[in-house]
This record gives sequence, C-alpha cells and structure tokens, in this order.
Amino acid sequence: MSNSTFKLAHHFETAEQQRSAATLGMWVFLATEVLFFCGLLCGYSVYRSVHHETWALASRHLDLWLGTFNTTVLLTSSLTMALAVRSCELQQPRGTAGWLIVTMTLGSMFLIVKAVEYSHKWHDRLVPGAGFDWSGNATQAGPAELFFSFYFVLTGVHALHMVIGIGVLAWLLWRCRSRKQEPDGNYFERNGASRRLSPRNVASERPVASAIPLTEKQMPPLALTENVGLYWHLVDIVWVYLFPLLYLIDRTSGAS
Amino acid sequence: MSSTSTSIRRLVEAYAVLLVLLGATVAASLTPLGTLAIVVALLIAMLKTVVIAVRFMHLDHAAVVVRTFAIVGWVMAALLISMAVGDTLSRLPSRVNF
Repeated sequence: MSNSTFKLAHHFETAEQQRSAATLGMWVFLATEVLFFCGLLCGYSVYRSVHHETWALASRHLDLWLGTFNTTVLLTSSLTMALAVRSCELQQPRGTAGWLIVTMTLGSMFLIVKAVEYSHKWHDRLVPGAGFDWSGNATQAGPAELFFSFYFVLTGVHALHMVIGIGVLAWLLWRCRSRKQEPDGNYFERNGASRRLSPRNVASERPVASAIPLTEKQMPPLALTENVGLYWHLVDIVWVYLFPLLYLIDRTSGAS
Repeated sequence: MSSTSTSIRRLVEAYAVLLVLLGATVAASLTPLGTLAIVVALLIAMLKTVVIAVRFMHLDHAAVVVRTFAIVGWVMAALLISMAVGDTLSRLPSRVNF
C-alpha cells in the first residue's frame, strides 16, 4: 500500500491483511443492506400476490421510458465508479477525480429524473394520503394506493442511499483535491492522521512521508475508494430489482 | 479483492452486457408472457446482479470468505421472500398470476 495517508493499525500484521479485513467488513455491511431492502420487498411481494390485477394497472401509471433512462444512467454510473476505483488502484489522481466527478454527475442526474417523476405523480394525485385520487374502479383505490405507498417508500429509500453515496463520493473527491494543493514533502504523523508541518509542531513530531512523490499524496486510500465503490454498486443492484418490480409488472395491455 | 487492476475492456464488456440485459427486460415486459413475466424479469435481474458483482465489485478476485458473505445475504433474502409469497399464494388457491 503505497498511499501516503495509509496507516497500518496495530492489530494487523500487513497492509494486505488490513485491506482484506476492510473489504470483508464492507461486504458484511452490504449484507445488512440487502436484508433491509429484503424486508421491504417481502412486504411488496405479499401484497402484489394478493392485489396483482390492480397493481398491474397502477404500475402502468409509472413512466416506462423515464424509468428505463434512469436505469441506463445508474448502470453507466456503476461503470464510471469501477473506472474510478481502477484509476485509484493505478495511482492516477486525475483519473480518479475525473471518474468520481462523472459518477456524481450521473447520480445527480438520476435523482433529478426521479424528482421529475415524483412531481408527475403529485400532479396526477397519485401520492398516498388524503389527496390520493384513483380514476379507475373505486374498489381498486385501496390496493392502488398501497402500490404507490410501496413505490414511494422503495424509491425514496433508494434515493436516500443515492444521496448518501453522492455525499461520500464528494468526500473522496475532496480528499483528492485537498491533497493536490499541498506542497511536496513535510507530512507529519500524529494520532494516526497525516497533516502538514507547521512551525508550532516541528519539534514534537516525526516526518513520515517527505520522500513520497506528489502524485501519491493526491490519492484517497485505495481500500476506502474500493469500499465506497462497493456501496455504489449495491445501490445500483437494488435499482436493478426495483425497476422491473415497480415499472414492469404488466405492460402488455394499455402500456404507456 | 483484486491484486491487479481490472482492464478497461472487461469493465466495458460488462457494461455492454448490462445494457443488453436492460433492453431484454423492457422487451420482455412488452411481450405477453403471463405468469412467466415475473420469472423472466427476476432471472434477468439476477443475471445483471452477477455481472455487477463479478466484474464491477471484483468478486471474481475475492477471497472465499468474502464471496460467502456476498452470497449469504442474497440467499437469505430469497428464502424469506419465497417462503412469504409461497405461504400467501397457498391461502389464495384461485390465484394463478403474480
């Protein structure tokens, strides 16, 4: 691990061992995320099996082409995130920062399209609550409202994960950018964190990275970038399931 | 965990496969498949998951313990959902669609 900010924790023997532990820990966290969405999808599956016909009708109120466009955007963002991790692994600061920016842009585009879809539902009075207005058979209104409850909760929680993901990507990007502005040499270690030399702490601290080339100081830690990438890909995978389950229940008749 | 960088070609290949699968999902949804529609949609979603997990999340280079954790969450999710749906459908004998 050649990154200047890398610190080997005392309970690990090698950098590779620490990186492996970080990866495993991230996958454990992702498993909890899978089970979180599983609970929601379990409820969805039960109600869909009971109200299949009405949910198929309600599903047709979702915009198939906006959903398809958003899926493409998210799949593309997974590619760019993987390219960001690859650039980080190859110690390419410009590539890492560039792909992170593209990924954040695509993530933001997804959220904007989602907001447009929400506004359409609000305009069509399909938001569950007192204002919900189902134009079809009155007996279908309850199950249809239930469908839209699942739609807003599932896509809303997914969008929240996207917002958190974009925030973490911005943090990674900041770590790239902030290091670019630092002069070469003069990194000092204190309490496990690297920071610049200042006249006040020259005497009390130990230089650790003065010989590391400038480009390496611009990189966020690889294990961190990899784990953020894993999170981003999982959010993508969740959408891979939400798209057909919400948008594509039955488009064979009266499809938009 | 990858010890060497994944080539751009492998990543772009995976992306192309994902786009083809997306097209297949949409095309299948516009085709009258009846009860099979949900099966086809979920099979395609699982294929996409495998492509993303193997190529983008580097499970192809991951340690066995990491692969195990990656798979267990999905298996538990599939078990829970299939048992819940199976129980519900068994109480609705007249239902044939899903």
